[in-house]
Amino acid sequence: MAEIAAPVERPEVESGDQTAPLRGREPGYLVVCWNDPVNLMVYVTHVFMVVFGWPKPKAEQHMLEVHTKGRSVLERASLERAEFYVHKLQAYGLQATLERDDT
Amino acid sequence: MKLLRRAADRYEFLFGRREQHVFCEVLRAFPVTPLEHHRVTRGTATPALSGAQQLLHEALTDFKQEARRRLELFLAETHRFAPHRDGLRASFTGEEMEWLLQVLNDIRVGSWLQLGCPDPDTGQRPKLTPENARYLPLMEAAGAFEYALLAALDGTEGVGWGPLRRDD
Repeated sequence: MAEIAAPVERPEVESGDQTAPLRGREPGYLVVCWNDPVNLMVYVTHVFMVVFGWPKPKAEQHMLEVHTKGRSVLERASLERAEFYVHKLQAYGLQATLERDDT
Repeated sequence: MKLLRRAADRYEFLFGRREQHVFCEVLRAFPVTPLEHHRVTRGTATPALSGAQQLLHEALTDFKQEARRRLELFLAETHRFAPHRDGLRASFTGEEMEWLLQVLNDIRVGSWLQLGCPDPDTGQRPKLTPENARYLPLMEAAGAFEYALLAALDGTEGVGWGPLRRDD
């Protein structure tokens, strides 16, 4: 992701994040966002807030995960729901994919 | 491009005259990102995911066609930019701001692809040729306008970029 001039404050990590895949749940699909050097960090945060309706700290947490770890799992959902999110994210130009969750 | 005021769901901006010209010229480039760039998965292809890939391309084809149609109307609106003492004034609804962000980012990402996907973090510079040189200013200008829109939406002054001060 392209850097911004101002530092981004690292938000508190939420406990019990519902986007994390959990064992024992029905098989589904993960919505994954991948890092790239072109999308602006503030833009990625904004898109997460718009598409998922997340508060800014949670959106920033996932944006920073994308930036530092190369990817972030944003959601776990049925194929239809995961496709919906991927379409939305890609219409904003983010590198978002859906991956089968076999955990 | 400077936010003058926000009232209800409208954001009013001041553009310098050259800046407004650049803004419209950048928008005119849309779409830049090719459909092939949009991949639905990085995992193993399955019949379900092949269908999902086709659906994604169909959805984005429709989206880009509609955005292009809307953009042509936007650029043809003679009253969109009104004269102001310091340049030109234009206001956008929140929905228009989101649409502009999507259009500008398509231009930014597509330009980055045209430049060989440079990565400043690894020291990889744009692969400039006479054919793709125009994409470098296009990518940077699209990003600058994105910053201005995002700062307005976020209620901040923005970061990393300031509005041009002088025209003409």
